[in-house]
Amino acid sequence: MTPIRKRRFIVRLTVLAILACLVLIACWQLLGGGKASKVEAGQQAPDFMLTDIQTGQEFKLSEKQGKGVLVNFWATYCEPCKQEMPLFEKASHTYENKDVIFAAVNVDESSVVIERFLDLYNLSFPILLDNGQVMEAYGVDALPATFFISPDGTVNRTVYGPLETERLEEYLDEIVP
Amino acid sequence: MQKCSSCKHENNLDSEECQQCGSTLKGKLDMRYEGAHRRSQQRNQTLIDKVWRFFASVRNGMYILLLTVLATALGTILPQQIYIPIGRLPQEFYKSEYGVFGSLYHNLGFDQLYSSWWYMTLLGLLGASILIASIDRFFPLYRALKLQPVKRKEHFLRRQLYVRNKEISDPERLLSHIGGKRYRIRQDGDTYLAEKNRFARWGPYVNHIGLLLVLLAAFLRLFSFFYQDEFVWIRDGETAVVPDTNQSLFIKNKQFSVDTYDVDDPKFEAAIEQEGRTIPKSFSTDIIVYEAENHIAGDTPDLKVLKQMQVSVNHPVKAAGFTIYQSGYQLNEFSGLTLRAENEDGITADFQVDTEDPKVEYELANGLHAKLVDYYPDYQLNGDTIITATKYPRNPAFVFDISEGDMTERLFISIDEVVSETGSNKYNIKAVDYDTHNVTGLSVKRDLTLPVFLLGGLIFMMGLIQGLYWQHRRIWLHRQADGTYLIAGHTNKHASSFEREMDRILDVYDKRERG
Repeated sequence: MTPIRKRRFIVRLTVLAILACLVLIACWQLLGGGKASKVEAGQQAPDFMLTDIQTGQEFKLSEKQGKGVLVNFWATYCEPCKQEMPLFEKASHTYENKDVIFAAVNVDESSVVIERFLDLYNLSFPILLDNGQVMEAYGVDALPATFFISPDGTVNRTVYGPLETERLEEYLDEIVP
Repeated sequence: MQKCSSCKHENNLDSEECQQCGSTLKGKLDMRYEGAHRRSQQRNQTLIDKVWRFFASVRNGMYILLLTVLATALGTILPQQIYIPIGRLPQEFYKSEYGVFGSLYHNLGFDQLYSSWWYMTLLGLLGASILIASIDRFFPLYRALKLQPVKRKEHFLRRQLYVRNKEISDPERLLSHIGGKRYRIRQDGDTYLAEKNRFARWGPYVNHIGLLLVLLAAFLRLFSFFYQDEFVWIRDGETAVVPDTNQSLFIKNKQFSVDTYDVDDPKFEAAIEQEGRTIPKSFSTDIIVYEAENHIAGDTPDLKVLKQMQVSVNHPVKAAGFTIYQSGYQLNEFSGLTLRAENEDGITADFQVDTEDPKVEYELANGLHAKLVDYYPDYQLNGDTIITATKYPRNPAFVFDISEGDMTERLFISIDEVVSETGSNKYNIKAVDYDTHNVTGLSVKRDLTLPVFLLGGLIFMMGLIQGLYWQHRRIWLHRQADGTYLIAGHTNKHASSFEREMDRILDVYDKRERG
C-alpha cells in the first residue's frame, strides 16, 4: 500500500469504528435503559433502614453483612405474595441456623391490615414497613419482587414477579455464608 | 471525471479524447464534484473500503432515509406505550382499544418503536451515511477548488455551460466590470479566472453538520445525565422521593388545589351542563423541594430545603437542575370517615376512623365498644370474597365488632352499605361524614439536549441558506491563438440567472466599446 492509501485506510477504519461504537452504545443503553433504575444481580445491594413491625427494632441491611439476606417486597393484596409467604416462613426456620435472614418489606399499608395478615399466616421473620423509598431504591414497580443478597452485600439473584417456589431452596443455598 | 459515451471509460475532465478507445468526448461536463476523484470509487478494495463505499453512496443513503421515514411514520399509527393512560396494562390496552391490529402492534414492539434497538440502528446508519458521504465528497471537492489552475484546456472551457467567442480589445475593462459584480480575479499569463461565492458549495456540508448534531442530541437523550423524565404522585401533606435521583431529591406536597369554572357564571353554564360535571380551570400545588445527602432508603431523611414554590399547569418551576411540571391529580381520596353507631335504645354516637392508619379500639359515648377487625382501603368483590385492590383509601370498607357488655355483633361497613355478618341487626352503624385529601401528579424532567437540538437546527438552516441563496460562479477568459477571447462560465445552480448576469456584463462592455 502506498502511504496515502494507508492513511486513507486508517482514517476510514477510525471513522467506521467510532460510528459502530456509538450505535452499539446506543443499543446497549436502550436495551438496558428500562432497567437502569432496577437493581441487577452482581450489584451492591442498596442499603436501607426500616422498622420491623414485629419487634419494633431497626433493621439495617448493611449491618447484616456476613449473612445471606432474602429481601422480599410484598403487599397483603398481592395474590402471589400470599402463596410465597408460607414458603418463606417454612424456609426461614430451616435457614436460620445457616445464617440466612429473611426480610419482608411491605409497601406501606396500615398496621391493622398487616397485623391481620400476620395473624392469618403466622409469620415470624422481620416484617418491615416501607415508605416508598426502599421500593424506589430497588426499582421495584410490581409485586412481588425478591432479592437474594450474598453475605458480602452484593445481589446474587433477583426475581421480579412470582418465585418458582420449587427453586427457592436452590436460590437460598447460593447465599449461605 | 467524465465518462466516454462509447466505451464508458472514465477520463479526466481536461481530456479531449477517450484514453481507452480514442473517441472524442462531447457534451456538457459534469462539474458536480469538480471532476475530483471520489475516493470511494477506487479499485482494489478491502472490506473497510467496501463498507465505506456503501455509506458513501447517495443512493444507499436515500434508501436508509426512506426506511427511517417509513419506520417513523409507523410509530404514529397507534399511541406509543408512554402515552397510554396511566395504570392500563399495555397488553390489555392495545387489545381492547384496537383489536387484533392493536395486539399485533404491541407484540411487534411498535408501541415502543422510537426506543427500539433497530430504530436506533437505523438512525445510526443514517448518521453514518450522512457523515461518510460528506467526507467522501467534501475533501476532494475542497482540494480541487483550492488547487484549481487558472489555465484550463480549451476543450474543458468549450464544454462549459456558458461559452462565447469574442474580440476583446480591452480585457482590463471587461475584468473591472466583472469585478464590479463581486468576482475575485486571478491571472495566469493571458488567462483570467473570475470567481465568486465559492462558500455556497459548502452549504450541503454545513447542513449535514446540523443534521449530525440533531442525531447526536437524540443519542445524548439516552443518558440520564442529559435527559431524565420522572413522575411522582404525592398526597397532600406527604413528602416523596423523586425516582432515579439516588435518593437525593425529595418533594413535599404542602397543598394541592383545583380551580373550577364558576357554575353560576352564565358564560359557562351551558358548557358545564353539557359536560355534566364541574370543569377544572387550573390546578396547582404548593411544593417544597428538598435535598438529602447520603440518605439511606427508608430512614427519616435529613432534608435541606432547596426551594418553596407553587407549580401550576403551564407554569413549571425549576429546582435542583430539574423542571417540575404540574401534570396530573387525583381528587378526593378518603383521609378519614365519621361513623355513627346506634345502640339498642336508639342513642347515637359518632366516631372518627383514620382511613390511612386506623386504630383498632373505639370507646363510644353511648356505651358501645367498637373493635376494628378488618380493613379494606380499596374494597372490591372478587367472586364471594372481599378484597382490597390497592393500599390507597379510595373506597374504604371495614369490619367492626360492636359490643355492649356480652353482646357482640359483627358488621361490614362501606361508604354506602352496612351488612350485619352475624345477622342479629341489634346495632346500626353508618358513614355520616368524611374528610378527603387530594393527590398531585408531578413530572420532574431534565433535558440538556434541547440546546444541542437547537444548535443543530440553526446550523442546518445556515447550511440551507448558504447553499440556496448563493451560487458558486466562475468565468474563464482565455486568449486564443487568433487573438480573440474564449469566454467560458460555470455556475453550480440557477443557470439562467447566471447567463443573464454574463450577458449583462458583456453588453455593458460592448456599449462602452461602441460609445
